[in-house]
Amino acid sequence: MKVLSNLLIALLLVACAGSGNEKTSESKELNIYSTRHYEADRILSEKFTQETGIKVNLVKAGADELISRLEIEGEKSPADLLITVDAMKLNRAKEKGLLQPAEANTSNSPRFIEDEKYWYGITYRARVIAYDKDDVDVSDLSTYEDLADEKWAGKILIRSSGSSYNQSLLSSIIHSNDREKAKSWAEGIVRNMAREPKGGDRDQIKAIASDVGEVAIVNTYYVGLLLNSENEEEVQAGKKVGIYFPNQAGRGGHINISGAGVTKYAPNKENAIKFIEFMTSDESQKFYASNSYEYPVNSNVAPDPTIAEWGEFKIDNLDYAKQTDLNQEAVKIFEEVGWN
Amino acid sequence: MFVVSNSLSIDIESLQESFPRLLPLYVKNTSLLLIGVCVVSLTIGVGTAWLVTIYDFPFRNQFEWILILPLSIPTFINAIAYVGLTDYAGPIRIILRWLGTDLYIDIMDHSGAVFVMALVLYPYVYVAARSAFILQSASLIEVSRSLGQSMSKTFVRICMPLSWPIIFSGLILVVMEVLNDYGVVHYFGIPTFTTGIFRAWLALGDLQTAIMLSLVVLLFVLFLVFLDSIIQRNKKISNENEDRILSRVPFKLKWIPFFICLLPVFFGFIVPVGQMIWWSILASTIEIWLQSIRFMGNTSILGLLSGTTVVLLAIVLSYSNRLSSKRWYSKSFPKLSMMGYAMPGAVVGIGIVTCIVWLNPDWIYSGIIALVFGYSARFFAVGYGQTDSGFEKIPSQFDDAASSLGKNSFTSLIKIHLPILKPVLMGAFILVFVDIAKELPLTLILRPFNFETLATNAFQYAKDEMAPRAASSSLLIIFVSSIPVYFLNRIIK
Repeated sequence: MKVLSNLLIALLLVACAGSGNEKTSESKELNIYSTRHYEADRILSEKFTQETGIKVNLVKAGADELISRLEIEGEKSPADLLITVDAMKLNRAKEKGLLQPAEANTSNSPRFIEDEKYWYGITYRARVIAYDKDDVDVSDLSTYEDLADEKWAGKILIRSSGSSYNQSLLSSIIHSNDREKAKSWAEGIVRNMAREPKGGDRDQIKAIASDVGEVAIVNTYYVGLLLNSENEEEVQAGKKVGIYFPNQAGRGGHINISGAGVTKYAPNKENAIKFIEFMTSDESQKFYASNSYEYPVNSNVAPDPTIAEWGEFKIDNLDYAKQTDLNQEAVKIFEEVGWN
Repeated sequence: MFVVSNSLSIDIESLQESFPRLLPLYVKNTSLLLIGVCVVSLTIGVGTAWLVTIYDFPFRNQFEWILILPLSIPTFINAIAYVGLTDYAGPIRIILRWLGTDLYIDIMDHSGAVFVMALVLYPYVYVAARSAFILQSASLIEVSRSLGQSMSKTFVRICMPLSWPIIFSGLILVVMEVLNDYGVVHYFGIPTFTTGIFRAWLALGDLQTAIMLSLVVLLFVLFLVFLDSIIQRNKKISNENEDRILSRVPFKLKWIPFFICLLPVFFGFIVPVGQMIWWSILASTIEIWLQSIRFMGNTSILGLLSGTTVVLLAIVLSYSNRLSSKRWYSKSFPKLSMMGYAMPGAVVGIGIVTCIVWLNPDWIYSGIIALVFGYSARFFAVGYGQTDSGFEKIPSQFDDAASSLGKNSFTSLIKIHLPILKPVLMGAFILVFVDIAKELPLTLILRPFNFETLATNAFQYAKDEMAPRAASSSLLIIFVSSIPVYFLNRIIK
């Protein structure tokens, strides 16, 4: 079977030879492995090609799969840039020796540049509390930790622990408290859940609109999408919830950062840096802010009116993301407390 | 097979303590889903197949192929369609609110998962059951009836026992689809073996647990292959006088079978497609449609190339089996490739990347070879099962006659076997084609730069909770797979 499939591959290789020789012109290309798959990204990368003449080649897949692929490919990897929607994933790639430091000229606020410049932030989303405007008194809300309190019994909506956003959140809670406290927090949340964890972030907000629960932990980005949905009913659902930024008196609200890191064996390192500079430029950041309902990392650019309406907020630092083993701890805690 | 051997080559030493704790949970959830989906698929599949084969009722001819259509809908797409239909912003709730009432409908649980999966997987059973019922000589049924047996007794005592081996091979495909499903269970928050393998391998980096979980699934598949070999051994091949056309029995209340057959089509096809059309009206622009149509070309090329590859491989393997020994293990051995079908696609994908890098890393970047290779490895079981059972139906006297006439085995393959097998091979090809059109995780990780298929385009929006924008591509997946599904029916005839 192996011999046969080899033969077949060889045949196909001949058949596809025409399309396979595009790798030769090195300087005018850029190969990206990305987990971001948004319309805004596509438009921006087309603009990048127009301005620089550099052709952008893109493979989009899940972060874990892409990191595995980079690992397996090693020196032979064609990738120049790894883009993920989670700082921890980038740090994991860094730890595995898949990235290299790069000197890019950006206006990113320093917290959105990795300490050793292994990666640069592109955008971020806040993981906030969405609450039922009718049933919840805002003054009852305070911190993520407080949601484990008995007073929220049967009211909390959140998606499953398979979501990397929840894994990041719990990681940050382990980081700023300790494992024991984080575990009892997770237990408390499970106890307080209005229903089994399921669905996506948007589904949690719609569940509030259906009066299944009263508070949900969601990313701002999805609320933005809901409020700008093509379906009028979704807009209505979005309007039923208020947005609360937790932990403002303490460490600040949890965020997920999208970032790009130059790969260790990047064949087109210069182009990769140009791309990072382009994506974080004032112009691109403005475009992101108004098209993807994410927060800009560039300190010169203000967020989109939709999300600016929720107000400014204090952000938690990304120190938790440096301890990449916290993510595994988080997953284990989820398993221990039965958070599906 | 490569994938399996790749993951097994790592030695199993220390297991995380989480393994014994989680195993019962995975076993429970996965078996609940399996049992549920199998029971529902069998009921719908066998029931409707019996109706359209034996009885005569309005639109019976059309139902023959319409009943297969739900197969063209990917399970995950069906799930988001149903969630979209029933959630706060969905049409049901909108109408209810308009009527001045409201009702919270939650489809995201075990029974909901069984429902959305069985509705699009039952055609595997239906197709198998119908071809089995057609194969059964009409005379058998008529003899039974002339002996005064009622239709239902004929069904229970004669037809089911005789058809069971073929139906079982259809059911195995359903089991595999449920085992490898990640989209639905992840979205519904149901921890199964698939999500467990994902979590252990990718999130925890805990290869040991991932391998142990995979082994449990593989053992189960092994058991199924073994069971299948026993069942197939007892198969009594009918006397194949296909010329006789069964005179169909008119049903007393002729609209009853009509509505029974309409039910699965309604819930498994019309409803999700309707939801998709509504979404595409909400969200699609001409530009989105044009783009999706472009991706349709990619999907079709991949399906054609990989489908052909699988069928060719299956012919070579089945035929060499036929020429060599006839022991059960030699026949069952290729069926072990089902393991690749039972594993979650992303895991198979990474296994294949490893394998390709080991073979020749340049291939993965030079077009769609990696994809064709990956699909062939993953869906080989689908094509092989069909092809092999097709070969078995050709009496060995044909071979003997050919060789006595001095023809070598290659000539007799080309001149005798392949012409007889044409419909079977087409059927195998079509099933693989439809599977490929729906495939996602493997495509994501193995595709070359800047390459989109309908599935990758639909799922990227769906995953990002922008279901309406996924609608146009989803509709085209359904369209592309519906054409072969239509032909599949003509072949069975």
